[in-house]
Amino acid sequence: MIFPMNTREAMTIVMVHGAWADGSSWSGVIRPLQAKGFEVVAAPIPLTSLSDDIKALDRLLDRTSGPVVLAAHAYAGAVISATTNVRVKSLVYIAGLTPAEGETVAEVFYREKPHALAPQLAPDASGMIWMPDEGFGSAFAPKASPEQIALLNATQRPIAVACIQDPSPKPAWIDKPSWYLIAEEDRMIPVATQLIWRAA
Amino acid sequence: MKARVRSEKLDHTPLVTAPDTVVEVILDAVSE
Repeated sequence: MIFPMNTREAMTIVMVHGAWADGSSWSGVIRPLQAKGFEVVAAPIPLTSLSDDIKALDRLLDRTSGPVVLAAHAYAGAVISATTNVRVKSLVYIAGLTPAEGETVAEVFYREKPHALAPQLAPDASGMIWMPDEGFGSAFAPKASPEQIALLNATQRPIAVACIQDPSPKPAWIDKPSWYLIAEEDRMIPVATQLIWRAA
Repeated sequence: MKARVRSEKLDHTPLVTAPDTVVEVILDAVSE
């Protein structure tokens, strides 16, 4: 293993998957960062409620030591924003949702008109929302290869309605340094929604 | 939110479709 120098030596990078995905969605990012010597962990969150996901992330953070950079994709932006862990030094949002205090993910997600190719999403009898099979190729990852889309389909995890209906706590991005990657051709989360944080 | 922002012509899941860009953003955060 190659260990980076100086302050990066003890840095852990924790990545949190979004809805309809698991930690394997970060595999293309994990390997290059590991090759640079970082400790990298893909946090498993249950996607059963926002509070459950926040607790799962807290448990994962308890297994780390030293400074942490938290990175989130999409829905997980709401999860990492809830961290109160003082070892978290910065936050990284990849097309992430950033609800304000008291706001729900649903209020943010449905604020703008959806893209014409966005999938129709509805909960099943158990209150779980699944991505339609065609949704991965049409909206979730339209630039992915057929092999990548097949993998996303095979590993998808549904998200519970409770995840998007729980009010968010005070967001950590008020105080912690944050980075945001805007996905300009996002068909799931409109750019205008990604820019909501500008008004905060 | 005082975020440092990078905007690219990416789809919803760049961690799959543009992982190099995501790595660059994370490394920016790490280096601060």
